[in-house]
Amino acid sequence: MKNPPKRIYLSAVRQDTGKTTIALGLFHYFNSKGLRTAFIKPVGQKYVEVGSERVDKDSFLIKELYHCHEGVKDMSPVTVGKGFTEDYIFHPHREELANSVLASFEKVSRDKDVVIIEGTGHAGVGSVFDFSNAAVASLLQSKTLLISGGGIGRSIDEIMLNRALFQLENVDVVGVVVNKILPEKYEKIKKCISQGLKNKNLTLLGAIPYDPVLAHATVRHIQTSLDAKVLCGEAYLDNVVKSTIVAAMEPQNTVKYLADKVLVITPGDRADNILITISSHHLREEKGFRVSGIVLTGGLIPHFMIMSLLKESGIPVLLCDHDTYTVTRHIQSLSTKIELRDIDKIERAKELVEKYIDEDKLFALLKD
Amino acid sequence: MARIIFIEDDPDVVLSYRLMLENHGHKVVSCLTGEDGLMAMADGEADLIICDMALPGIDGATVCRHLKENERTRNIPIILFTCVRIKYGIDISEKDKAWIPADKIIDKADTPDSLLKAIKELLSHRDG
Repeated sequence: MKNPPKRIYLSAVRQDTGKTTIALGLFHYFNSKGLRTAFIKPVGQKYVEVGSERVDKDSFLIKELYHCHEGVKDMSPVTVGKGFTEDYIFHPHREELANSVLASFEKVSRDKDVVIIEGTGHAGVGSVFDFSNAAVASLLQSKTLLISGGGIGRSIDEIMLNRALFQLENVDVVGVVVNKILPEKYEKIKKCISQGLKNKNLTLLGAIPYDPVLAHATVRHIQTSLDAKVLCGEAYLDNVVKSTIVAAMEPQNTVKYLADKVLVITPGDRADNILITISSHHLREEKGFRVSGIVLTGGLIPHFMIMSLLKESGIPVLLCDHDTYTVTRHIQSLSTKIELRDIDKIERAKELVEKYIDEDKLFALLKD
Repeated sequence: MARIIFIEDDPDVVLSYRLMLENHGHKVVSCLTGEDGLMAMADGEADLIICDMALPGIDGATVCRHLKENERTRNIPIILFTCVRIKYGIDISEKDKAWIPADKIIDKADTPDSLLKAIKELLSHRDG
């Protein structure tokens, strides 16, 4: 009789701790060891349209990246779109959801050695529709790997809170990966959290330092998220954005804040700040300085003379109808999801997981 | 015959092209600035608009955007008629639609036939 596949449920202690990075890296690692690996995200919240279907973004990424044969709909059986929660509250259908997830899981896990199951947010997310991460892990009889942000006190507090919910559902938490640790505090935090977790009978399976390549958005991410129009510089939309500046001051003051790979947010009628941005982009090029992009706010397009300079500069220029404050607030709240075209990020995710997570120990812990 | 609004600040250009267009049976109303052109379109009718790029006040690209954003005027074809390539070394083309939503861009350095051909083509959509 064939052995059932090993199952690992990746659950974060809160949003944006890097579950997809770790899923992507683990998939690569298991694959490279000759293990037949599958991926499923039972409940997805951020979706893309594939043909006539809405599928979870992360499932689509993994399918395309690793050429998975499974149907993408089976890799993301439940997609929580707009209105789903309100609808569920008045018309609960937990059994239907559970059957759908179980049927998809059966398909994706067939003939596999290991299945990576990615959760959505912290352990309790989904409780509103009777399908929390802890409940889904229990349904799929999976062990859980908790992923936390890179602190000490707050991280351990959050880990314990999340473990409690998994314990309530009789789900075994095999270990913890702490992600995004500030490099200057790496050794101290790793040592401290390792001991802190041991005191709570938990195992630290990985400590990953903060990585700027993974943290930074590209101009394309920002454009998509703002639904902004591209005025020019379309070929450079994959420029990485390291910092943002609101150029609403006088240009001689703006120039002080223009750092390498900056995104300049300015009202479209501030010709002075647009011109200083173009000048800095060109004059400091030899020193390795580049402006990553410009977001023009207020729906204002500059005079054609300035537009033609922008076009020549190669700087990608986005146009947004919202005011500067709204645009800035939106950009600052952006989380940087990995997408298929983010080759550097994908490679970095693989490297980080291979270097900083003890995958062999994790795999051994998945055995009954 | 078509009613054409010709937005152009150079009186010599207006004079020569007005004659040419009238000889081809069109009725021409000329405006010296973008603001005048928009005023003329606020309560007037036109079958086609020819607009210079480098105008005093608002530029030709802005005039195009205003007209294309207005429900009443958005379907009126616009020819951006410009010499910015020769005068300022600026290359613009129909690839710049995101900020110049003109239906055609004609270089003033081209032969007058190019303008007549573009007018005929754009008006044929109206007539067709």
